[in-house]
Amino acid sequence: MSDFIAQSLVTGNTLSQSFSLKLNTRYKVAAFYPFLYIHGAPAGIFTFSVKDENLLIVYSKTFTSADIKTALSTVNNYVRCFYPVIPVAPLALDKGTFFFELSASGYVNSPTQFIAWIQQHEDLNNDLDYVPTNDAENPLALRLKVFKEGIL
Amino acid sequence: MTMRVLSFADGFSAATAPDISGTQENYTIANNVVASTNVSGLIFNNLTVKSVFAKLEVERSHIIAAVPVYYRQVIDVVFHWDGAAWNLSPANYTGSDLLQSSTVVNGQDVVLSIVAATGQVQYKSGNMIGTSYIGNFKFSITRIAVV
Repeated sequence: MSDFIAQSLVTGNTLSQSFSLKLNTRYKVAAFYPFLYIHGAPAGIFTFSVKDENLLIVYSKTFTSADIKTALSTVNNYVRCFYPVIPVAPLALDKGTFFFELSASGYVNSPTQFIAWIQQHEDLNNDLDYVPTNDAENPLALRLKVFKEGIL
Repeated sequence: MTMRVLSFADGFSAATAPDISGTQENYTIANNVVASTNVSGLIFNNLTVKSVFAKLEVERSHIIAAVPVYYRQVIDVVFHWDGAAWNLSPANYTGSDLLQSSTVVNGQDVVLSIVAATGQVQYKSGNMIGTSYIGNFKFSITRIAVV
């Protein structure tokens, strides 16, 4: 049995997580992996957006509940996964703070149908710039896959 | 955003809903429901949860002769699986006496029940004869998961 704390997306609102890239280099992002959960495969089109510190959209991609199910090759309607949001070409991001957002259109949340972003417990991949005092303060879970160049 | 606590069985996907706790769940009370009717989506699986603690607000209102009439009850409800059947135990209410054990007597009354075998929560409601009727169950639920 596994327990997760998640923030469900309310109709008309967004879920947002700030993320800082701290090295003086240009990151070539291969993929974003938000840890998402769909409850009852809700209808609608979901959008994962990357905004810069001026809140300008630098990248976005849409997907549906069906896409999340396909990613896991499942027909079940209650699915959690690090969903791959993959730019067609590597996304170049410089050092700075970005905001990753989840929004939706044509979506109505209910107790039986919703999409949620699972919160991270004890993140071994990303440092936090604050100390959560309880699990409700954990950030929204996300993985970033970046291309690396050089001699392997 | 609404915080939810999800309790999953093993695996990344499931054909049935996992248990969810810790957030408010709102359901509509239709007017004059004579036969026990499902509270759609409120059902407990005894394989994954055997005890459920709920804070429940029951709210019904209508307008009679241009005067709004409100009824609101706040009550604790425990749903529990005794090994063979689901049971329901309401207690400690404040406000209007809306929730009745088995029979609707007054127009504002509500009967809350649970199907013993399936864990499906159901209700009946009295007939509020005014205009602009509104009725809601608002649950704050904690499900004690089977470990």
